[in-house]
Amino acid sequence: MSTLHIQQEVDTYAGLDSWMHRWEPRLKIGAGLVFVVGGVLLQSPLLAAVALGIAVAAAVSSRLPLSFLITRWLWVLPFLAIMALSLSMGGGLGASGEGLTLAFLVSMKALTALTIMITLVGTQPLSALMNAFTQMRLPHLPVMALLLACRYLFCFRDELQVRQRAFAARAFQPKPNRRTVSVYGETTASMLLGALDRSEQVHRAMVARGFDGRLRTSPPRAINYTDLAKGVFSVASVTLLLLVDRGFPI
Amino acid sequence: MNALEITDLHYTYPDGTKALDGVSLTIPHYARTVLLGANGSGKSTLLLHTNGLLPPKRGRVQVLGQEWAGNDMRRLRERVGMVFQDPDDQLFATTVADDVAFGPRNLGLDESTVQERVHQALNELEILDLAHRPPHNLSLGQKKRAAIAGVLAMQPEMLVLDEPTASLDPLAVRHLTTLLHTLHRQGRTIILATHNVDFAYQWADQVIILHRGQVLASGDITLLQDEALLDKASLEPPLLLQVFRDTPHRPRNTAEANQIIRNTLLS
Amino acid sequence: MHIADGVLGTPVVAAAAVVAAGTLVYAARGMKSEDVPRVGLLAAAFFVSSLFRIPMGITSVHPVLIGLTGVMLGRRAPLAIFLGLLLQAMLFGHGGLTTLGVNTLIMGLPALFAGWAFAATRRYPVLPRGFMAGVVGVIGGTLLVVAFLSLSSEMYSQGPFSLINLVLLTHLPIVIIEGFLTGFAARLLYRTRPEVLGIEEQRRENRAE
Repeated sequence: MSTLHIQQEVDTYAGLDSWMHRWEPRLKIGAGLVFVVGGVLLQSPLLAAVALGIAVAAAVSSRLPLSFLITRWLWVLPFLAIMALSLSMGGGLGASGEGLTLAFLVSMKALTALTIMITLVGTQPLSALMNAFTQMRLPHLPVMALLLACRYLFCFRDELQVRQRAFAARAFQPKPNRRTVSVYGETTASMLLGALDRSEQVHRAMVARGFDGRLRTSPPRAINYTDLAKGVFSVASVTLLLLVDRGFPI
Repeated sequence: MNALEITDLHYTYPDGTKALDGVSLTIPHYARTVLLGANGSGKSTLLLHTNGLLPPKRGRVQVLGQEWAGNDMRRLRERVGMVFQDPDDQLFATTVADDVAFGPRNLGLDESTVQERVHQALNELEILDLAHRPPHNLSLGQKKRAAIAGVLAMQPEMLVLDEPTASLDPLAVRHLTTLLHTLHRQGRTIILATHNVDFAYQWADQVIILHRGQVLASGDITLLQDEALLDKASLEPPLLLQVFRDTPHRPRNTAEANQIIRNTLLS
Repeated sequence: MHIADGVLGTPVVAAAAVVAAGTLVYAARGMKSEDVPRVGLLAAAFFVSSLFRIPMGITSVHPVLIGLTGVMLGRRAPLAIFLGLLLQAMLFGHGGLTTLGVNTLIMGLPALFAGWAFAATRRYPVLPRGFMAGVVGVIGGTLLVVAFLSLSSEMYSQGPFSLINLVLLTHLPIVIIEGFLTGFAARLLYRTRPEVLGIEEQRRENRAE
């Protein structure tokens, strides 16, 4: 199950050194977002491919192993392949060049967004990413909820594994019948109840240490010219692509 | 003025469970008190009243000489630090250092003071090397220490701990005992809830025995010699007392017991 | 039940983002600091629970849990779903950044609906109510996926093996499973902790006291 890989893979390459690692997280996130949105707006398949190329180049130059990137791509590839098959066959009506072009365009965009996200998240520790969120002026309570969700995700993931193993240990044979679904339904319910109970304790523990709804965090890292330059560079590159895409003579 | 004074406290949970049924007790300053009771005796519920997490629905709760309400609660929680039974409930930040900083930051301290306190607390608990680790991957003993550090960083004068020895291996229990000794010597009142009678016997000045939401008895550790009392509370006497029951000796710890054996059996 | 980046047309994504933002404002309105751990932890728990793999013969199925989210979280459901989607995008690297709005609507609106439907049928036994919520969740979500796809490009609906038809083919069989899953889950909750079903209403009643 891919769940096993959350923590390990997220922080695995976080300690490396590259221009991406050194980029201040808030600017990095902002610039990455702009690039993803810009990339998705492209209408030319060729330019979308160029955007993907830029994204891959950014990822590779951040010292992220290509194999890591490819493994991540593998998760969306099945969906993209099915879509490509459906579109290029005109949905069964006959080969469609237009459909194939659309499939290609969509694939380029999906992979570009994916690659940028992976690079964004993988080039600093998860805690730094979360801190960046708190330092951007977003509404406190939902951000706090996100932080807690992120922290306790791992607890629940472990619990899930324990429960799946418990099933196996008791020789539970899942079959497509009502009883199986009942077992899974009740297990889900009990996990959720556990989460609910824990959330009450967490709240008490937070209040016990003075929590009052306001999010207080460490002061953000200072932004230097290099950070700004990187930001300008990435925004400029995607803007350039968009301008060419829309036909502006450069 | 006492550290804690509770008069006729009752508490019923929303689902109807009556957890506290007329509890009255007094805990003096600088005492090392154990709230002793089996699971379900109301210990945790009682502890939640010491820092206002549960307001007294019926009865009086005076902490550090006064009753607390409303906006004062912040100040109460600065002075009474609570360590929960499950450290995972208490470590909710993404790194240990961030979590320890949570309390001081909520107190509105400036960042450099916060960092000082974090460093101090981590140092005291000997977990400076864990500062940037995510809490999830730590061992239980490490998590418990991180949780205590987070509470200590607020520099409370009173410490309240819920089952701190639960699931700890013997070495970790010994470390905890040493730590509690240090914290007590620094001038703190410590209240500890547990069902670990042996721990209570070796550590406490004052023992309050709880059963089904009521105080059965309150006194010093000689209470633990009363087998009938303990039995009523679904507890067993401390191991040392069980062993030496038919003798006139009442060793407080293993060292004393060894001495007695050396003197009587081996001479 | 969510859509990757680049699949949908720009106006669709933009409009969905705006509507989703509005939905999130609605979902977060009146949120108190005591709601934070509940929403956060349940968001994580629902997300993780959907990773359960239920082997069904030759293939396996994942719980969708849209209906149950709506039942347990009420109006906060879209927020919890959004947080789950964010975590998935960040930690799983499956993409879905530009389509956060779209996916929040695909899962969040049916969740709200399922929650309302569940609350409105208080007089009836819990198992069928839960079943209905589960079914509403999956069907609602599937319909929205189809709607977004057809609004984006007519090529998605072309032919017997169009993408839309494939989506319907792969999602509709889950309806029955999800119905029973939600029904049984709701029944356990009802038997052990009934106040959990319809949390927001309960909290409002408590505060009114």
